[in-house]
Amino acid sequence: MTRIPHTLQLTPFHPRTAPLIRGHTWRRWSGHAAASVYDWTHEHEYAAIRNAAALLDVSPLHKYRISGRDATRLLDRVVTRNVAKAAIGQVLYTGWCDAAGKLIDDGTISRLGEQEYRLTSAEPNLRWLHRNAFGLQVAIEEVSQALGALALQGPLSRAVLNAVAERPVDGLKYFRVMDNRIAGTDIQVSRTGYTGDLGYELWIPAAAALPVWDALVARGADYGLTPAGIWALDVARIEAGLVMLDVDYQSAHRAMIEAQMSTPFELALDWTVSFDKGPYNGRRALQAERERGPAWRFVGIEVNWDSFEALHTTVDLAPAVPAVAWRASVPVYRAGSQVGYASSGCWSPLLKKYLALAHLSAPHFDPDTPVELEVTVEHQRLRAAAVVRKLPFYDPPRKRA
Amino acid sequence: MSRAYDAIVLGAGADGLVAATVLARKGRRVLVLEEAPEPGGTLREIEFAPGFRAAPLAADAGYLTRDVLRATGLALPAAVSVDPTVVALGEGPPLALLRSPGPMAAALLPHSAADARAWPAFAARMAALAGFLEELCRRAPPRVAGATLRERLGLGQLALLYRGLGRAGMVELLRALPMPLADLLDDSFESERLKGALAGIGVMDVARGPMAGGTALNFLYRQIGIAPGVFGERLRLQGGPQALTAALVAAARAAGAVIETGVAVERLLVKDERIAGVRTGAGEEVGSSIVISSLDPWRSLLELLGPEHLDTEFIDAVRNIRFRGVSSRLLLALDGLPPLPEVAGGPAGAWLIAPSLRYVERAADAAKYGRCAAEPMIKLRIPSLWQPELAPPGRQVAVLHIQYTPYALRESDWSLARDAVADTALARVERHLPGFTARVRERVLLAPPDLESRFGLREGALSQGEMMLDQLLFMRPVPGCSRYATPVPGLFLCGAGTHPGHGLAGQSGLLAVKKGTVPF
Repeated sequence: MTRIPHTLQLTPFHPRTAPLIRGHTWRRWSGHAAASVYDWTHEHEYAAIRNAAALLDVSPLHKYRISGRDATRLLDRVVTRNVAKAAIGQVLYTGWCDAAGKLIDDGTISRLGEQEYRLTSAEPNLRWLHRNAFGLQVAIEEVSQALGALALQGPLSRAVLNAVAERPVDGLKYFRVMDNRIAGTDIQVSRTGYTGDLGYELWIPAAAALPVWDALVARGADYGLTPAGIWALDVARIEAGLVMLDVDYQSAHRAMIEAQMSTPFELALDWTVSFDKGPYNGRRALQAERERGPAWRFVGIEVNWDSFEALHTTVDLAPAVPAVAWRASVPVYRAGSQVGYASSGCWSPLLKKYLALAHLSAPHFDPDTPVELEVTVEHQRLRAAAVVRKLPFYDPPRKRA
Repeated sequence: MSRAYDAIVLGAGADGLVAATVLARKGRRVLVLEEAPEPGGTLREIEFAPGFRAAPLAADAGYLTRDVLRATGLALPAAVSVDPTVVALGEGPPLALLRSPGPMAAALLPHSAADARAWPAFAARMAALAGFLEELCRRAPPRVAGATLRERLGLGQLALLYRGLGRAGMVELLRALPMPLADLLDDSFESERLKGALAGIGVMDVARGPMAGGTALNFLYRQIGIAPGVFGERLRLQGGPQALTAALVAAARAAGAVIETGVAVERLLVKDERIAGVRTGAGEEVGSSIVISSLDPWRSLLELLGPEHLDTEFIDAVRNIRFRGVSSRLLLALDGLPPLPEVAGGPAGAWLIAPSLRYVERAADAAKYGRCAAEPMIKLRIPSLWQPELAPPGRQVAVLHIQYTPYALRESDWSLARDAVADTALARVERHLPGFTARVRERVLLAPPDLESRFGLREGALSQGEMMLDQLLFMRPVPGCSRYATPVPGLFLCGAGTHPGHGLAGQSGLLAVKKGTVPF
């Protein structure tokens, strides 16, 4: 029997991450202790993501190994992308929906073999997978505990990996996965991540987690490799315009009312919805939505600096920008009426802009539409001028090159 | 596609044949495909020993509503009225259930004077409640949301009928629907023999004992279409249940429907998310934009259609349908008439070993824990008394309905349990009818898994979905799919697994093709 611990679970890398965290800034991520930030502030952890290489423990992700004769059929029945078309060694980002086309979760599918896949997700999906596997010959194995995961992200991440791994990763294309070896351990390396930058994710047997970490940290020092926490990641993923479950949308399985649910179209994930495959969960509803167009759209918002500054100078303050990304519902207005809400936002140190991710109702979501974002200055709710932007805000060529 | 029809009906039982007949009478080209070698479904006779035949699952033809008779133009043979309908065996003198309230009250006197007095009123009340249920069964189930004006008018009619039960009747119906049958009987009677017999009749083929909630409804459901005061017997035709099949087949063929037996359907064909036809086990593809399946909902939706065409929640709902077959049939070739108790009137329709409520409940307890009852409830009938052609001259055929013998055994396996079930049942019959077993020449036990394989009844359940309150009306077969249409355009369900369930021959087939359900 599995014992339910009364404290947070520890990831396989905890013996290495725990001594690094200076302010006990742990947070909860899928029942695990995860670092918000290792140092007192996250500035140089963020800088490592954009300018050198950052190492993030992403082991709390839920991971499932799906194999067997009908593995492809199961995934194609569950997710919105066309899994059958994926080549072996390819990784797909996709969401999955309920019958009404409302998003349940999102994650990646790595095709490891003809009949073998790994699915990652933000929330537990084992029961959902089993329910959908009815009538299919497929094995679904929860490997969340058995597999540790590290994200190695940043412009120098390739160089770090080439220095540490037995096989060079130069040939590994964007959203592809390969077998590799680090410190004598067989691992897999996928060219994926949550930063919108050049980066990799490493899938490591939990028992061999520490030697791999040690090897990366030892050789990575030459490249400025820096362990990074969630605060740094959050800024990077907002710049990259990547949607986050429980922050930017609620799972259809958790929402209390329909209005709290979102469809892939509403979250601007149109490119992940396939209509060139057979029936799958939500297909009929999504088809109808595609024809009539989404009622909402997930977009970027860029705050007008002059306007933002003016709101502060009237009370004799210098403009204060949120250094740590916020996760809250903040109203967005147009011409005096509320047209939506922002769900995440932060100051982008790289772009030098105050950015937010927002949900706007039709017809207010086209790029360059002038809107206003609510800001609170000295306990006063005010509105700063802003403009709708296409996502991502930041998209360096090296991400795919 | 080698050939194409306007509609394909799966299953040539009463429901499938009625659906086919009604469509064919409207000028549609209809093909009926039946997996068994002969039509009839649960009415079907089989030869179980050389020269001996019986319909294991049908004591009678059930009940045909006037709507079915009108829509099909069915030419039925004459009905046979047996009296007593059932003789209840036990310690002491047997109790005969007689058709007329006067003689029945007199028959009850030796058992209980109070029960004799209570009988006529009980019979009338049950008939009134069953009459209301009949009206529910004549209609497609009410839509939970989004009913049309016409449907609302229909509901209004039902409301008027409900009020017609009177104040006491309205209360009694609401009280009876979720009630244990034992409590309903305890309200009226004191004689254990009478209560045992009525309980046995009420829970026949139900996977619960009479003390389980909801079983009063099973009892009332069985009274639909029967004259007041008659229990344990429905429409008995000259020629037996097979005669109804013959009449249904004749009506379907006369209307132009094509019936093919011995053809298993392997898969429903779907094109552009619509039904396009069927593929048979032999590999033939027959085209049709309409398929009406009278097979059980699990088979129709999860096996023939396939889960990939259905939403997860819907699949879960279908997977959660309870089937739970609990009765076996022991088919006996007798070398002559066995000794039977002397009762007034002609030979009885059946002899019942259900001597008390507790006896039936204890038998049900065993099934609850995955065992066969050590002291089973048994209904004995001798169909050759009415149909001599079922046995060679001078011989007889007996059918024992044995309950409770669950489909899934916890500590045993049906390959080992069959003989023990047959021995137990025969020993019990011998105790009440000494000399019976000496007449037995051949015996064949059909346990629930046999009923599944030979009659296509999932888990051996005649009901194709347990007939409890949560699986009836707009929740049959599953909520949101009770008006015969399925989520896949062109696929419709009928049969016992849909409203109104088992026992009303052809009614679901009729409702499924009524205007507004199947688009014709």
